[in-house]
Amino acid sequence: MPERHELVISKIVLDVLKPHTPTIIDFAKALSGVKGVNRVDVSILEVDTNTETVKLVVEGYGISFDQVRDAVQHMGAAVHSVDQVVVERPQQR
Amino acid sequence: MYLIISRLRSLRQSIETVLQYSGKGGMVRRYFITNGFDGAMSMLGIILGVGLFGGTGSLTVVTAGLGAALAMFISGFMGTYLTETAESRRRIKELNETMLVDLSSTVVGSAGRAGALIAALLQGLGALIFGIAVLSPYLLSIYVRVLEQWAIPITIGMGVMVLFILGASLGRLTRQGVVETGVKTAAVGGVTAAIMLLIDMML
Repeated sequence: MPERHELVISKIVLDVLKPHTPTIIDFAKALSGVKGVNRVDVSILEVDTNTETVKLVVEGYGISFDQVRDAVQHMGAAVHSVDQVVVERPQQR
Repeated sequence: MYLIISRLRSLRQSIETVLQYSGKGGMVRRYFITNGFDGAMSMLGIILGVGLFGGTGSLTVVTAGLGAALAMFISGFMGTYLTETAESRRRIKELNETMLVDLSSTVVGSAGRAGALIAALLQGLGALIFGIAVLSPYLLSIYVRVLEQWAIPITIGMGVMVLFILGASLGRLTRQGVVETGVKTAAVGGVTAAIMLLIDMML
């Protein structure tokens, strides 16, 4: 049975509320700069007058949730819920 | 040289991003031209008003023109800064209430503050640059004395040209006829000059 701290996050799916600007393109680019992130997928789920709800999928290896959340908040968005998390054992690299 | 161009491109990109995030991109372009139009027209009026008055030297016209240009810059800057800062605060407050988070320390909040400042600077510069462009024949005539006797017709020509460029830019921006819009704004300058000349002849 592996120790819990040995596991690393490889995928996080978040429900995020953001203003219309920055656009999802700038939003995705900003998140791709987070350490450990290799792929960012942003899909718009709902559009309101001032805001939009997006599904944010962040994939990579050894992703820090705190850093992802900080990057989301820095772009003026708010994490509503964490809908999915994938963790895996550290790979021998 | 390459480094300077690269820095300028980067600066332009940053300004465009800030204006996009603050929602002031379209407004800045429109009002830069509007303020430029105001600056050019006001300067044309001041130069013709002062210059047509007999015995007025180039230095007097230039001093009056520079004073007016500075006043237009400050007026454009302060007017826009105060209104756009208030508008940005309202926008951020509205977003804060919608999202139930404080956006003041995010890129959206920073862009709102910086966007108001950039918009104000561009509005002030619009009036200053185009005003000085119309004044340039008189500025030059201080150093090239022979130009002094031709300063008024050259100024009218310069004013009409600047107004044409502004109109054409507006036409390009609004995707209307570039030449048509340019001719319209140039005609406004031409008519103003004609009225001023008529008043001068009557007095």
